[in-house]
Amino acid sequence: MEILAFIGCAMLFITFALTVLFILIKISSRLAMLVLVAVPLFAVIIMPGTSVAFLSYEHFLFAKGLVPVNNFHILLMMWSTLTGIILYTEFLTWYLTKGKRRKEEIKASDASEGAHKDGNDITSKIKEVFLKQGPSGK
Amino acid sequence: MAVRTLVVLILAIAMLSALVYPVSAYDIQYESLWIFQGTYELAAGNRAELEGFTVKVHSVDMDSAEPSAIVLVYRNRDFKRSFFMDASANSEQVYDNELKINVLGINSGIVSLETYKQKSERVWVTSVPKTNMKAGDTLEDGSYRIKLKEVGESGALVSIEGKNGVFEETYQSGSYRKFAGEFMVRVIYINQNTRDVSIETFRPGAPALTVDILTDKIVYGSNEDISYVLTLTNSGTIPLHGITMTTGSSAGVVGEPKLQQAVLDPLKVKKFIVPVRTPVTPVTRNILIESQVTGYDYKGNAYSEPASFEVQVRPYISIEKKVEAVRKSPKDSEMGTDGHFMITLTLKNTAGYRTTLEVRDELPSSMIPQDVERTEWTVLLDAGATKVISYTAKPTEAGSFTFRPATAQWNDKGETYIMESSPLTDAFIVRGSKVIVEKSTVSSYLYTGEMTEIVVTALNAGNSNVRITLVDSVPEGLALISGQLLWEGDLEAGASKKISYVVKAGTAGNVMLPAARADCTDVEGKKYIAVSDTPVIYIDDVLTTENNQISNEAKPSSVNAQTSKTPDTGNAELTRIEAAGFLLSAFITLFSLLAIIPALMYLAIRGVYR
Repeated sequence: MEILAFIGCAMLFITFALTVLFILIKISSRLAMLVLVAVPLFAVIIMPGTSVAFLSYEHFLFAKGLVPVNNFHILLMMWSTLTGIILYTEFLTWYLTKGKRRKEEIKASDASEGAHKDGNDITSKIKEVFLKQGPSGK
Repeated sequence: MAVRTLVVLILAIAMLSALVYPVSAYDIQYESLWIFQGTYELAAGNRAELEGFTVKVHSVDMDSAEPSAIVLVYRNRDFKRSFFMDASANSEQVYDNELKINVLGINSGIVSLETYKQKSERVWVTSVPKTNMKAGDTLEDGSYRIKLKEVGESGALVSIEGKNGVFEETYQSGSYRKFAGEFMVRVIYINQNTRDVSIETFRPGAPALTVDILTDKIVYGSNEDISYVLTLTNSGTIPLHGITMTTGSSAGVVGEPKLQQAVLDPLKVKKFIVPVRTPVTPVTRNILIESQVTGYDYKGNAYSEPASFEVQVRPYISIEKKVEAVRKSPKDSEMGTDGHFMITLTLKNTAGYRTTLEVRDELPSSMIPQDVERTEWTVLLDAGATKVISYTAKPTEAGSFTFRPATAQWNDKGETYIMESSPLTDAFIVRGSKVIVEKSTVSSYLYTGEMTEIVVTALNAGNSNVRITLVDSVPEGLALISGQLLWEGDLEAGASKKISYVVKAGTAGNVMLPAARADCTDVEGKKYIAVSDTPVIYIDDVLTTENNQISNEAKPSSVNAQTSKTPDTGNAELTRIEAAGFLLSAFITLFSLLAIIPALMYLAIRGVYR
């Protein structure tokens, strides 16, 4: 029975994770984040007894029984993983988009002014490095 | 007419003579010998029975320098003659040229003597049967080689080559010759017309002993007579003389340890019946009966054959158990719970002394002894006595029953021994109903306000129908929500009925459920009650995770093990807020931790591009 319970729980969590990832890729990262937090939250609010019983179901006991692993721990692990994926996806998307846009702006200003004055301060140098070896890699 | 009668008479005599001739021809196989009759050791008054003669030692004189004895000879039980005999000058005496007594020695009043009888006995047996030979032919018989050299008017010239050299002689029809007492050749007939010679050879015969032992049983009781029959067969070719049979036993008592037989002719059988009594033993043991049969041929050569037989001896205390099913009415075809069992224990002491026994009999758990308080008895059994204990046992429920063996325990010389009766293999079937009530809960650990289902099952494990009223009740601390607490109806043999109901846990604590009860009435109108076990439900009133841990510690370990798997929450209103808040806070914490680095990076990059 215990292995069947573990398989059932694992299938539920995998389905949940795939749904979130699907929404992240196909629809929106914000919606994926919302689903990630809302589904367990609504489950607990709508079916508190069943949900809490599910989350506190104990699968393993590690370190001679000192470290129990419940469904709640698995949910936290999934939350951290998926949240991480969504956050970094969002951050990288922003960064890449911003770098590209900045390059285009610089090219346009160079062409219009015709001359470029080199800056000697440290800020100008950092800017140059970011622009040359920008997030686009080109 | 008279002449004719005379001719017929002469012809008849001639034919008779012709028939008799061949028989008389084989008289050469017989020899008149002093046939050894056996060796005997006789004290004064003892006698040796020979074939037709009795030799008795009348008195022994051990006082003189040369011990002597007066030996009497009887013929067919009639006294004939007395001899003064000693072991030296008068050691050999012959009576009537028929009986020879040879004293070997006289020691401690015992006369050792050999006996011989003058008798014409068949000694020679055919070795090579009649063979027709012509001049120049050779016949071999062992180490002897017979060659027919020539056949003439004077007879047949035969050369016989043996271990003593070559011997040539002319034989007539019917003539014979013996060589060194071990070989004889005989010319049966010489046909002068065809010059054929019929020759046969003879060798001394020898007796051969075969011994078979037969007993009527293999297992005997203590102190019981064994019918020990020893069958002696002479499968040889000449008689065996002076046969003695000695019998001994490893533990038993042999009635006649020594038996004698004067002669046993070839192909004859002699049965010896030896009375043997088994020992008195407190434990089962095996005893070995050994016999040694010795006989002699006419030369005094001994022939011996040992034989042995092992029998098992049971202890001197025996116990037998007999069980008889007695129906209430002889018309009943089957035994019911209204019948009873008649149990008979038979105790027997075959020892020669009195013994006190502790007798125990064990009944199946559902049977009650009727006319005795306990199925244990102390019995004093006299020597050779038999005692019978009878009692009745009443079955209280239906089923198939087997009875275990009864035991008898006693002391013998400081040791305790136990004897069991033979196993009873018969199974007795008692018709009737037998209702078993079982009560179980779906969950035995509840939180206050939580619900669980209680199941009550009545099974008719008997072999006839029963009418039952199944009743259960809800104790304090639980509230009946739904379901059935009462059922009434008939249950067939092997059928079961299940009722169930749902209860809600009230106040915290341990609640022992009362036993469910079935009032049963079988087809014969007999009424009885069957009850279930009393399971326990543990009710806890705490719900939160923190308190849950505390309550788990306070609970019994068995319950703790179960609840750690499924700590079900019972109160929905409380958990809804707290659980959702806990989840939300956990998520926010995780999100914050994970968002620190991207947020810092975001701020740094924005500052750079600003």
